[in-house]
Amino acid sequence: MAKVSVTPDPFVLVNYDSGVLGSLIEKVASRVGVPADVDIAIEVDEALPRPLIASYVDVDATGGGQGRVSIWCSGGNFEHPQYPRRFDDAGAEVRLAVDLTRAADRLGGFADAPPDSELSERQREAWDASAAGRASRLGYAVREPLVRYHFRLSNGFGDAVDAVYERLWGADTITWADLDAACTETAAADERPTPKTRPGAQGASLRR
Amino acid sequence: MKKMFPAEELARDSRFVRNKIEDAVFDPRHQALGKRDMGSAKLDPNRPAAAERARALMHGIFTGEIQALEGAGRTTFDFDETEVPLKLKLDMARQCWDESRHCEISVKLGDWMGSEIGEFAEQTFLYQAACADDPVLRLTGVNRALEGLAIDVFNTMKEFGELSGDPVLAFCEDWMLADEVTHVKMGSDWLRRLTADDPERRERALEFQRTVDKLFSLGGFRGENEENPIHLARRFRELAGFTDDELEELVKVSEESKAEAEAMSAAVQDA
Repeated sequence: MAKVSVTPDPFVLVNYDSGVLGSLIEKVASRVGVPADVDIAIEVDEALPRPLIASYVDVDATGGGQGRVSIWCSGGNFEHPQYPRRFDDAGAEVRLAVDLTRAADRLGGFADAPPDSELSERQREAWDASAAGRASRLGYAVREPLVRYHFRLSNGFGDAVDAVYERLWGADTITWADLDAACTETAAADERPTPKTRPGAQGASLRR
Repeated sequence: MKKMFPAEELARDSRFVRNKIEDAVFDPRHQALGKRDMGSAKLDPNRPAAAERARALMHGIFTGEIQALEGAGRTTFDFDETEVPLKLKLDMARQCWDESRHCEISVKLGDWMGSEIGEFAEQTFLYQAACADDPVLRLTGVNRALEGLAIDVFNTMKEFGELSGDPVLAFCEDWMLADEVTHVKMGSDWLRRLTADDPERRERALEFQRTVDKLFSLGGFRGENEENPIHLARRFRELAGFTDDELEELVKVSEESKAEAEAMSAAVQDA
């Protein structure tokens, strides 16, 4: 069983329980394929509410072996949309499923992917779309239209971009090279005068 | 049928949850965030979490449209023809038709953006501003203040759609924006007509408008600076009958609202 550490412990600005979050991470990590001997450290910035949702998922060398999964995310990731400061069990499970699928990717066919802070918005949303599709097929209650909107906002609105999305969503195996090629494809099809290009923009000014 | 219908009794199904504005104002995270440089708050596709900000705002627009429909509907019914001219009621009835259409458009835009009806909590203070017992106060509080805010919000969302290349969002917001300009213009015109011989009543109504404007500036939600998510749509407000002085006053009200909200939040944290 992976060792999970949660920061902060306890939470003081939101009504989250570090133990509950840690247990949920253990459960989801196992289901999406993070190896049992890989430790997971998550740091939640509890001052950042909805809708400021952002996360970084990386693998660092701490602990030796395959490394350790290191997640930074805003508290808004796990916040109930109807009740401020309340933990949203169902929503948190889905967000963790996507993030931990990406963590499992980094331990496999995405070893050569840049760290999350260096991903473009286009790459990040494409990766999220792929991970969300796989999480959905594992039975997690992913809202596909929401994933599609995020993807379109970053990759463009149009039939060619939508076709790439369908491919990413439906793929059960994918590598960093595949994903990077898909993003090159959407960039070529993106007709917007100023497409979203800011590197790491998903959390650029949110993460301190 | 009941007249002067209270906000607590508005009909909603189980998907909707209401919360209070105080919950947001007294959220302890505000003070922590206030100490950080968060960059521009303007709704812009290149800002972090832009998709989630836009979705949350779009849902707020949706619930606002429901309440605007309810408010205009009440005004057609709450007053008899000794209190308001029939033609004003007809204008309110036309506004109901517009707001109904806006509700449907907002639901479809929510679908487009991956949202669900009731996903985010609703606050009913928009409808509460539509409960004044003087119809002239409803014209200023709802048509001029709240529908004026709708002009700012729709214009901001339209720009967001254009900047992000989202043809559906930009198109829908543009159509709704056109209606809002008409609603504000109706408020401006009826206010002038109904208070032509009663300057005191007009001043009371405009004071109510200032109060609602301050409430809806929501601690700096609307303004003309980078830290304001929603920007004042000057041109469209001019078309709707706002004078230059009124626009300057709105900017001032927004700044005051922001300062008051920060002071209130700090006081709560210190207590």
